Amino acid sequence: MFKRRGGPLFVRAVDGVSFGINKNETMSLVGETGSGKTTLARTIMRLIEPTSGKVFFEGRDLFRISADEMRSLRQEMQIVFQDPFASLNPRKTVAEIVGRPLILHGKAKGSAVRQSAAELLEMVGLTPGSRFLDRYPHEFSGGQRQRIGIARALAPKPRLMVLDEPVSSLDISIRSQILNLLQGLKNQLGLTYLLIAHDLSVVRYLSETVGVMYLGKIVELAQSESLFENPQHPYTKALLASIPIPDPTVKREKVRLQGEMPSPINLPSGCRFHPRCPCPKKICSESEPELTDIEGHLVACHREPVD
Amino acid sequence: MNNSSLLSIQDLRTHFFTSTGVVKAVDGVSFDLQRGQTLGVVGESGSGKSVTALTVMRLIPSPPGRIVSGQIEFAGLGNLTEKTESEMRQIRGKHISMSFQDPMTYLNPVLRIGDQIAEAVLLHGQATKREAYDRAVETMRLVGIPSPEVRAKDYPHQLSGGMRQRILLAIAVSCNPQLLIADEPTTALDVIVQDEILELLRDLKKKLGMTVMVITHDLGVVAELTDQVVVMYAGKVMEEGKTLDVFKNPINPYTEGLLRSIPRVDWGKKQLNVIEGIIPDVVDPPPGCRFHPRCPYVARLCQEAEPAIVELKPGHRTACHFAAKIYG
Repeated sequence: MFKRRGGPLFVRAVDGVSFGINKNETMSLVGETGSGKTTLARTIMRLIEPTSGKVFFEGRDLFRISADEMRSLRQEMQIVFQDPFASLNPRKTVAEIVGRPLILHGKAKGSAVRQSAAELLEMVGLTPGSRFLDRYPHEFSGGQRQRIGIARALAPKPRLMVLDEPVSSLDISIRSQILNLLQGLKNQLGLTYLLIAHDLSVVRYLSETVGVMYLGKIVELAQSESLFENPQHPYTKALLASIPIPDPTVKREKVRLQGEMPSPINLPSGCRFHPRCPCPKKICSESEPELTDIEGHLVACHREPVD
Repeated sequence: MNNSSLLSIQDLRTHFFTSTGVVKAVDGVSFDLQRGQTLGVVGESGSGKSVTALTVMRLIPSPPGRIVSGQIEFAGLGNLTEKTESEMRQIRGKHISMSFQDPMTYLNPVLRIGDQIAEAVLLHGQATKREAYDRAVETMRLVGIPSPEVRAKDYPHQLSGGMRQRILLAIAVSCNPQLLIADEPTTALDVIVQDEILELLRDLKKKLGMTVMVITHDLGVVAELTDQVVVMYAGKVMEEGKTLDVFKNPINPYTEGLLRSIPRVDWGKKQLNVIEGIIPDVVDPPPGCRFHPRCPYVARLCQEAEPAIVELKPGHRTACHFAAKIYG
């Protein structure tokens, strides 16, 4: 479905559009259920094998290299999962959970493993780290578990981190703790993030670039601030207009879409969004729009640029 | 309880007696719900917001749960805590209805949707089966299901998440209740669908003249939908007032911290305030004020004595020893 090619962090989609994630920046993929954002991220991580297409990381095709090469490349790219309850093995201590990648990737040996694991825990705000090493996941709250998940991902010293809905299962008073932690780690360690999220306020807070996905395609790609201030694609507009704002004095402008998201098995002809679009034209049901430059955004829409 | 109150909760305590200790899920909660109002009960996990709603419905599993003290006065029906189960069966659905967060769990997967809604109608009215079914189809139309005659024959798995939430609301409003309690009505939904459900709730309230109580953790939903808000934390009410007042001028450190710590889509990269610490365990809550370990204004008194909830400004109540000093 998509290709990844070129320099270390450069992505090329199947319909001829390229985008790069600049080093030490956050690229976000947003979209509703079934938009393909998680599948895309997991394929990049080679946790899912694609039917066709290529994923390149540092010029190497991830689907052609040997298992050994892949293993060593995994150090460079790590993932933080959504559910901190399901993604930590309940039968392992924190020392084992965070220490395992250290051993696997040869970052520490013997007694140094515990020391390194404790340092990683302190890096994610579990201080003093040594106090937490011999505990099991069930002894921690959701926010603390997510910190452990982040420490585990940081262990092999990655350059790219995929954050798959990192705060959506956390309580609201805990979310800002994790968001600020992630932002701090990015600056401190020079990390690059690929963030998968459905909560657009989280996306706006963390990202430099945003790709909006609808039914497996990127429909709009732009600099974060510009996308939120001046959305171009009708789907992006509808998405932004539907977020409740925690301020009773703010009145939102409503954009109503028709119907529901179609099944990805039976895609509409032409533009995938046309059956729900507030302003469809004849051409929209006939041909699929390419991503083109409208007001500095890459937008897949047949309409003429208007203000 | 004054004349315009539909529901008045006083010093409600619902505790769960488990092997690991007594879970004081709701621990001295009081608030009034005025007729025709939309009230939001907002809180995080363990705040007691859902248990409060379930207690009003008298749906607390017992054992281990028990209403330890308090009163739930419902206009014209008296104290709900004293009702028998058979009396409650007459009240649920007809006077007070509740819709739940996860539609897939609460819909019967082997019954057609039309029949599930008709079941609720049959239980309360003198309607025949035919009339009940017609009523079910009409209610589906009311909640915005396109071609309801056809969809009534569908099973729950044939519907999308948004449609299922609409069906739950249809069941809840099918007998014209005076009070609708909506527990996390938008939580599992995508943003666009979520917005449609909020619109539907507003619409239903207007058409049916209901009073609505929304249980949610989402401050955006509260700001959009409600007139009045109750902020809960670890089984206690921290702040209560008009939604506009609470959001514009919060008078409790928890509410204030919360409002400054959530990222907003209209804010960009504005630095977020952080509420340090973790959500307390309600089996062994902190002594004194339950928020004190996380409070930036904490003083010695906060660790020793529990603050009473007081009216600091007209119609605006807070449980904080130093509210008058900080916000006065």
